[in-house]
Amino acid sequence: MSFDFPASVERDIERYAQDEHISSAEAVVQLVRDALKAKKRNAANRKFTEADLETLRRNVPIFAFLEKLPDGVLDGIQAATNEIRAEGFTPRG
Amino acid sequence: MRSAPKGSLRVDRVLLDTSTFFDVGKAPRQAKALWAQNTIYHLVQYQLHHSKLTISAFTAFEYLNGLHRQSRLPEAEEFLSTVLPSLDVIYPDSAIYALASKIHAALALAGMTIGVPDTFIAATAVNQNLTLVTANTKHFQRVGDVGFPLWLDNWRDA
Repeated sequence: MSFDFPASVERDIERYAQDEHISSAEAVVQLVRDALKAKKRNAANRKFTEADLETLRRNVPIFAFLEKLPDGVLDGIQAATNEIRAEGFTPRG
Repeated sequence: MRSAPKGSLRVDRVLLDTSTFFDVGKAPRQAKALWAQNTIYHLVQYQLHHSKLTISAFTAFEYLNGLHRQSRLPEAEEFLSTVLPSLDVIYPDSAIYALASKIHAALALAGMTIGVPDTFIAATAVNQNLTLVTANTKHFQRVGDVGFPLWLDNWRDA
């Protein structure tokens, strides 16, 4: 099995391997194992409750703001943001 | 700052991208989805350590633009009067402008631009040495691919 990693991921792996004084291959195996363990462990623990949402409504004003936006408005903001990314420049003249 | 629970891990200040707030807004209605559970979990943990969420001024621009595009004037006014003051907003200074221009040029030369607002968001994260939390990691990965030290995280992940 072989993988092509993006350059930035390769840099992260190299940095981790150097920090841990292990080879790059060992670093990849270790990181994947840790990630899989964490994913399994966390999947069961992260169901949020109404109390969590109430905490966020109280402490994080943007959460309360976004949550009460009418259906579709957030999708509209997202669509507008995607349009900005795709916008080109108007030719001069 | 709210006090973190005793024994909890340190949670570094991060820059939150526009896309993460789309997830934050949609997560409560998607309670069974793992990405939604992870997003709310991260936000709950983060707000225990940081009283304000940090954003780029360009994220505020994108939200306000989206509201105005839908003629949502009351919501835009509420965003300006209530939401914006509750956030830690980083407005681009000359160093961020200079870095954004370098990033944009490098991306353009490589044929993979990410748009002006996202270039400024990435430049803000790099300049301030903050991890950028985004749901669009592939998109922002390009900045790292052209050699700028942009650290990314995705609250959708565990």
